[in-house]
Amino acid sequence: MTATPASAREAWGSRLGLILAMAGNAVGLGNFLRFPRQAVENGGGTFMIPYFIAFLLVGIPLMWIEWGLGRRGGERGEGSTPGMFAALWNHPVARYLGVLGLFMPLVVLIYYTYIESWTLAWTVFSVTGAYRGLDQEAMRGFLASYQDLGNQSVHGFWVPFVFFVVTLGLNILVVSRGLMAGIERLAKVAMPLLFLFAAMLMVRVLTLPPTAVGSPVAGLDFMYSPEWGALKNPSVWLAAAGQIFFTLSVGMGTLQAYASYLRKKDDLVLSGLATCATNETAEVVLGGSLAIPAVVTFFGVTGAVQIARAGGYDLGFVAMPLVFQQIPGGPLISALAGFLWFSLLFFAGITSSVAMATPCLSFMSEHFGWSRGKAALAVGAVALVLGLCHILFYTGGFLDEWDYWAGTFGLVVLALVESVLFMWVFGPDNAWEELHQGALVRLPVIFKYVMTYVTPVFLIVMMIWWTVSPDGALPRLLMKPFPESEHATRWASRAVLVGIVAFQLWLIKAAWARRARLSGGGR
Amino acid sequence: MSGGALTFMVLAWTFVLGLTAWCFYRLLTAPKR
Repeated sequence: MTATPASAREAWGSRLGLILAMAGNAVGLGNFLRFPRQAVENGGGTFMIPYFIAFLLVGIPLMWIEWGLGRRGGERGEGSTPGMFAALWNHPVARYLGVLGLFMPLVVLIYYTYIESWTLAWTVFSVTGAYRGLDQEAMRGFLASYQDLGNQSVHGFWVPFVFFVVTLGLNILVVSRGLMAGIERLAKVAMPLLFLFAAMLMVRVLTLPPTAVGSPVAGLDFMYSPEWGALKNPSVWLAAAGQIFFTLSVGMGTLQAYASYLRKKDDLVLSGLATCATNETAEVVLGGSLAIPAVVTFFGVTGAVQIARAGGYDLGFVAMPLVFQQIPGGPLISALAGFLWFSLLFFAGITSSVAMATPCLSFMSEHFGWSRGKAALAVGAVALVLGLCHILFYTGGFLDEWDYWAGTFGLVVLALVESVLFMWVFGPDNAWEELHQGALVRLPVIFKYVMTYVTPVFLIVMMIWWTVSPDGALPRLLMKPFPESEHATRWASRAVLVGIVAFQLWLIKAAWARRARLSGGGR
Repeated sequence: MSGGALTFMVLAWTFVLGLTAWCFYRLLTAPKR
């Protein structure tokens, strides 16, 4: 017996709608906030070389693996990884390994929605002129007051709560309306607007007049001038590969969930490649031409590097508002630029976060017979309660722990598990045939070998390095990089993560027990 | 902007934009099933 008959499942309304939803899933805050910060911190042009290599050897192959895995699962009525893995490997361990594809999207959804709510807040602040006239130190204080409930020098303690609840509510509203009426419709509106806003801002940024410290051209020059010697540094390679994971949303469980709504005759080779390409256009062409050239123009290359290293969100939420105030044209143009920047971030965020809600929603609907609305409300309630922990304990490192274990390290773990299952357990020939069912183009056969050998080896090397490197998993686990004052919050944060995994493993056990009961005692 | 940086940027943008354009051309002109 399958979770839900494949014929009874929802389907995408159109090919374009599917691509826009998939691209919306991939294009997120990482394209416009994380990418410039990673590029600046890792030497600009030096970062771009391993970035493109990782895109070809890991990013695109994993995209195809996840689409193939998802469609195959969907044909068996499975919209989440426990069932998808069980369909590939007839062993009880398979479904429990699939917990990764429920854990990661739920955990990332919760803290990601909180960051997404900042973009909504800053959109409003841009229009109301809340940060107009602030200098760099005051702008830092503006962000710090929002992040720290104990610091009410600028914002009341209730402000982050209000924006978080509104953002989460919008997400739940979209997913509760279903695939076509909710997710696909959102993507068809938000994605064109995102590209339009980003293109408008890009034109404005690249035509800024030079200042005493820099210019847009100096920003682009920094971005595309590699220092060949720095390529020997493994941390640059890891940062680049990590960015590819984050930006394409691979290793998360969300692409598989969307792909499960494909039909057997639907193409996935060209569609998966189109998703990768669209994401890279948003990241390299648009994301790379906004924050870095703008910040280098007004702060110089050295200033941009300092800002990027000062804090994870300083580039987007401190430096960019300062840049907008200095754009020629007066307060109206400043407000418009701020509105375009933060609303495009919000569109990028919400089209990704609705994807993160989908695997858990599918799991509860397909395995426990819950309606989509009921499942959406349940996911929303969990996200609301746990999201409040992030607001309350952000400054103690609560969010940072989740971002590392689920949003960084966990992605590689799931990617490795799924690539081994799909390419080795299912078999390279079966996988190749599965990918080419309904394909509009045939892949060069070299990709079969890349997906079978190169991608898993790349992932294993990444995992080992990430575990033992000075700022990697092992030192982090032992709290070495963190001040004593944060230890209690970080341990509490980890305890919640363990609790989520344990609960989801129990749900998987209960789901299969229910299935066995309904099918009259089968395994 | 140095010649090397300009070349790298042109190559990167051509690759990304060219791939996107080719994918969408093939997808949107493919016969409906």
